[in-house]
Order: sequence, then C-alpha cells, then structure tokens
Amino acid sequence: METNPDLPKLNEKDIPLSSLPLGRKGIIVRVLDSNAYRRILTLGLLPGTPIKPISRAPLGDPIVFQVRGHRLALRGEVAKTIFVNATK
Amino acid sequence: MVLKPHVARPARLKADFTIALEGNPNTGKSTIFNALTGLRQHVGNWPGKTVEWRSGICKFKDATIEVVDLPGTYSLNACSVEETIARDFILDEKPDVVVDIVDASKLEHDLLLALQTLELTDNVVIDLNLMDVAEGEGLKIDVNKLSEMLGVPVIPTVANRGTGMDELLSAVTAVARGERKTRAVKVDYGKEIESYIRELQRMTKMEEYPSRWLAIKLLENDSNVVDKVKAGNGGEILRKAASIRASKEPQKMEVEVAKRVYGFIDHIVKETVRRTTPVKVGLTDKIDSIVTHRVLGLPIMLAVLAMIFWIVFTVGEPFGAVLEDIFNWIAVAVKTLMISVNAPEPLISLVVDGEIVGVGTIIIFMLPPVTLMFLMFSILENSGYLARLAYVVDRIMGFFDLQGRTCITSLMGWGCNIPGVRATRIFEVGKDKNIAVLTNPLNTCSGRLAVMFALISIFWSGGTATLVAISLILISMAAVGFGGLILSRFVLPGETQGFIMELPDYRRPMIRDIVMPTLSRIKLAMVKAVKIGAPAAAVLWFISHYPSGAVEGSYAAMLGRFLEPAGSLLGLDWRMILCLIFAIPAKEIVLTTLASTYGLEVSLGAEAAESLSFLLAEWTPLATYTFLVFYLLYMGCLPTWVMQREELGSWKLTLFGVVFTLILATIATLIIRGVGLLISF
Repeated sequence: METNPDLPKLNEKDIPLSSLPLGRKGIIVRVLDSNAYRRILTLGLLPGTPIKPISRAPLGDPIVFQVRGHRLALRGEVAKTIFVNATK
Repeated sequence: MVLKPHVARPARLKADFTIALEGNPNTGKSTIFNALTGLRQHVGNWPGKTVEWRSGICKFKDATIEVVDLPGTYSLNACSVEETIARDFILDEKPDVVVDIVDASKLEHDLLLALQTLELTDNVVIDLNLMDVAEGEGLKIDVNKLSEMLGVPVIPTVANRGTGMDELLSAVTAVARGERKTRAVKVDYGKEIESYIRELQRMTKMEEYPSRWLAIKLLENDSNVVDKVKAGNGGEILRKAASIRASKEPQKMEVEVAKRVYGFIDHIVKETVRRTTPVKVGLTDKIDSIVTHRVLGLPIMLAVLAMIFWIVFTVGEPFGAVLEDIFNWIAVAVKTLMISVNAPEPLISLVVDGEIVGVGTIIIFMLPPVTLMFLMFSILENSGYLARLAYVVDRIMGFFDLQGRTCITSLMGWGCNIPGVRATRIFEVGKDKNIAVLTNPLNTCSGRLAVMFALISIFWSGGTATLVAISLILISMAAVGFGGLILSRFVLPGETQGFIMELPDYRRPMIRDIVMPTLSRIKLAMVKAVKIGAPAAAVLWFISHYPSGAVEGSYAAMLGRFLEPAGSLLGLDWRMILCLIFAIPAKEIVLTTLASTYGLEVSLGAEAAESLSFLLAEWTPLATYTFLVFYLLYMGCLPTWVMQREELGSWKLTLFGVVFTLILATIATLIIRGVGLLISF
C-alpha cells in the first residue's frame, strides 16, 4: 500500500476503523490508498472527520457508521483502510 | 478547443424556459417532480442508457416551464452513469435553472452536491425539503443566512404536503428571467491550489464550460473531464495539469480539495444550523435495531424475500390466466377472419402459430412478473429497506466475491432477468456491476420456472417432484455464486470495490411516486421484448416450416441434427436442441415448441403445459433432468441480451457473457449426467 509521507503520521493509538468498538467515536487520521479511495473521500471521510460505528450486520460484517449525520455501511475490508484515533 | 456534448436529450417540450431537478436519493425529488408536473409527463430513457429520462410541463402564473428530472445522485463526480448524466446535462444542455433538492435534516451531508452544482452554474435555486423532519429532530435552520452564504435563493419546502411549491416556483421564475441575480459561492481551495487553478484557467479557451470548474477537475484528474478535453484537442492544458499533479505527492491534491469542500460545508452548517433539542433515537434507528438485528436480521430478510416471491407468483398467476384467455381469443378470432377472407394457408400459420403464439407467450409469461417485480423493487427502494437488504446479506454474498447489491439484482432476476439486469443500476460502473449483469441470466426467471414445473409435474409427483424442483433451484443459485466467483477471480480484470452503501432514512412510500415510474419501466421493458420477440417469432416460424412444411424436413431440423453430435454428449437429441434454439428469443416458448417439434398442434400457456404429457413416452427422467439443468443455465433470452448490452455498454462483453453461461451450463450438465448415468447403472 502506498502511503503519503505528507499526511499525519500514525501513532500507536491509531487503529483501523474496523477495530473501533461499537458506540465508540473516532477521528479519522488517514485513509490508505485502495480502489475505494476516491469514493471514500467523496463521502467526506477525511482526516479530522469524526466517525462512530453503530451496528454490525448479522454476520458481523459490514459495519454501519454514523458519519456526517448519515448512516454509511462499509465492509470490514474497506474500513480497514481507514485509520482513526479513538477518542474517549 | 471544442468539447463534444456527451449527453443528448431525448425530448424537448415546448416551454418558456427549462429547469432541472437534482438531489440525493430519498430527498423527495420525485415527489417534487410529480407535484410540479402532475400528469403532464414525458417518460423514456436517456439515449443509449438505461437511466430513466423524465420531463414534464409545469404552468406557473404566465410561465410554461419544462421540468427535467435528473437521476438522483450523491455527488457530481461522474463515478456512476447517473452522476455522469446529471453533470453532463447541466454542462451541455445548460438548463435555465438548476433546482438542487436538499434534505434539511441532513444538510452537512447533502451540501456536497449543492456546492458541486454551484461550481457548474450560477443559476441555482436550493430547495430545502423535508423541513418538517428537520424541525421534528429539533434542528433550526437560518434560511436567509444559508442563502446569503451560498449566493443563491434557498426555499424551505415540505413537498409531500405541497408546502412551499409556489415560493419555489416564484424563485425559479425570477432566476430564469434574470429578475433575481445570483452569485454562486466558490469554495476557497487555499493559496497553492488556487494559483494552479488560475494558471489552468488562463489556458482554457472555450466558452461553453466554466473554466474554474474545468481547472479543478483537471487537477483532480477526473477521468471523464480528461477524456472530454482530450477529445477537444486540449493536449497542452492536459500536460500542464499532469505536470502540476506530478509535482505533488500522490493523493495530496484530492485530499486537499475534498478537505476544503468539506471544511466549507462544516463552516456553513455551523453558521446556519442550530440544534434546539438533544439528539433522540429516531424512527429509522428503531426500525434498524429490528430489521438489521444480529439474530432477527436474516430471518426477517428471508421473510421479506419469501413474501415477494409469494406475491409475484400467486398474484401474478390469475393475470397470466386472463392474458392467456385474451390471446387465445385473439388467435381464434384472427384465424376465423383470415379463413373467411381466403387468406393463403402459410400466411394464416405465420400470423397465428408464429406471431400470436410467439408474442402471446412472451406477454403472458413476462407481463405479470415484470410488473410485480418492478413494483416490489420500487416499494423497497422508496421505503429505504432495499439498502438494508443489501447490507444484511452482504457477508454471505462475499463468500462468492459478490456483494450485497447482487442479491437484490438476482432477486429481481428470479422474477424476470430484464428487471434484474436493469436493477444493476444500483451499482457504480465497474467490475461489481459487470459481474451482476453477466450472472443475472443464471437466475431462473419465472418463464423458465413455468417450463421447469410443467416438465417436473409430468415426470415426477409428490415429494420427489418437490425434491427435483428444489435441487434445480439450488443448482441455479450455485451457478450464480460460482459463476460470479469465476468471473471475479479469473476472468474480469481489476478489483472489486467492496461494499460501500449509504443507508437512507426510512420513509413512507407515496403511492404516486411508486406507480408512475413503475408504469414507465414496465412499458419500456415490454415494448423492448415484443420488438425483439415479434421478428424472432417470424424467423423461427419460417425455419420450422420450410422448405418441406413438416418439422422433420425443415431448416430448423437440419440445424438441430447438425448440432446433435455435440448435444448427445449432454444427452440432448435434435428436438431438444431445437427447443433450446427456439427458446433464445423467449425462454417460456419451450412450452409450445416442445409440442411443435413433435409435429403436434401448438397452444398457449397452461393449455400448452398440459398438452406436454406425451413426452412421458418420449423422454427418460434422466434426459428430462439434464435437459432442465442445461435449459435453466445456458443463456438469457434475447431481450435480456439487449438489456445487458445497455448496462455493460459493449456487445463484446455481452456476447462473452452468453458464451460464459453456455460453458457453465455444459459443465454442469456433463457432471450431472455423469453422476446420473453412474447411479442408474
């Protein structure tokens, strides 16, 4: 995966969005390059955007997130490319 | 440099001026369109696209206004066909006013489309719809401030109650006539990017496209705009944009542009929206907690699917029976009439046995399930459950490299492949969509189910018959799964995009918003099927009656016998092969051709199914079973091919899909015949 040195550095507290527990808010710190990258940006999932997983599908995947006042369902594999800082 | 318009409009209604409606899905856009135009609507397709075109006339005071309903989109990025059409229409057709419909309760989400529109044109009116929902959620919106910040009129409305429509039309008319000046706000992209924009702007020499917008899109490397500029001999500006991009870190430009846009949106929302009550658990969350529940979610989904099938098959049947009576009556009436005027025998045969039976079979078997499937789809889509269905089932589909949306298109395919293929519009253009289009014919449509049940009831009864039916249905489902897996892993290039889907709020669907688009969809699908079915029926009639008159000596029989050596491997004799060839225009026609290939009198619908009992003496159960396996999988009908071609944009890929299912059917049949022969010895 190509990463951009110019974007904020990841630190230990940053976790993939897919591992954020339900109901816990996170702030997006970085989006890794993937073929869903552009679409993710268009949806406004940018560094600095708060995001919160609210539920999981019956088989645990995909996950629904509350972001920008909207519900967005992402597969785990997509959520894995987004890193968040889990706030308290 | 001249850019060629990419989108042509199918109709232009006579009016003083034209307005275009755009907005996110589920913002009440169709409700507004229907409220403005009533029954004065023109419905069709965008030329060469399966995306619906809807326009209508609205009278307001002394003005006659043409209203064009653009497809519902979340943005104008040209990622999907809908987005490309909406964007190109605004750019190329230059409507006098663009009305952007925004969900007042979701301003921070919907403003993206608004800002992108304001980059394209100054002549915008924002319709702040669903004000009642926003107020119910305790949101207070400073409309004047919003209008001031965006530089265009903002009109609050509650479309399903008709509130605010006059104010909307007043504002639209004033903007269209130039009585109200607008100055669309421009997002500030920051010093560095703004300097690039100015640099590129200076190099564009065409008047017809907003230069600032063009420059931004080139910096973002928007492939659609790059193609347009390339076609317009814009090599110089493209090289400049590429060199600017190359000087930056990868992704940096896109991230920065998106950040600025959303930063501006956040700023607008902060300035104009005030929350007066704390966030409550809304109705949508309550419904979701049940229908997407970890334990209840899947059973509820299965119940919904079962109900849809029950409705399609039980409600559809009596309508099929009525249609059958009508066509039988027509056949008798036409035959009597033609005999009375001494029409030549071959002509009577062509008209009655060829056309009326051929086209009649298509309509009898297609119209009821197509109607009901489109209706169900529309209800699911309008209520908001469609997205949940895809979400709940996504993981299961993931085992086959498919995604949740494929479940919806497959479901439609079980009614009829035509609405099934058409429903793939819920995908963005790309690999996932192509897989859904190419595997759709593997879903057993209701026409094939009718043939399947007719043959099963002749050869088996009771529990065995049920088992045979279930086994065939499972084979069809497995074919979709493994077909998708093979296409995804080994055949189609590129990667799938994964599952990204917005889950809109639930809304009570309005009858008018469901019925009107459904009617137009049915009309388009049926006209298409008959247009293909009618000439095909004539060709089939000819090759099965000439040169000798009897089937045995016909061109069709020669073709069947020619293919028999290959067919015999699969346990197919020349008559079966003939039936499979005849079934290409419409799969259910097998019910009638089975009789005609044995030189028997042909009849329609249920009568035809009953008349097939003579096969008991001709076929073995194993031959019947292998015939059914092959028949269920070998290819979609001709109208489906045409639909696939429209969705894929390529005959090559469409025909590849036909060959692919043919190979899949051959392999499946070989295996099953092999197993069958082993067991029976």
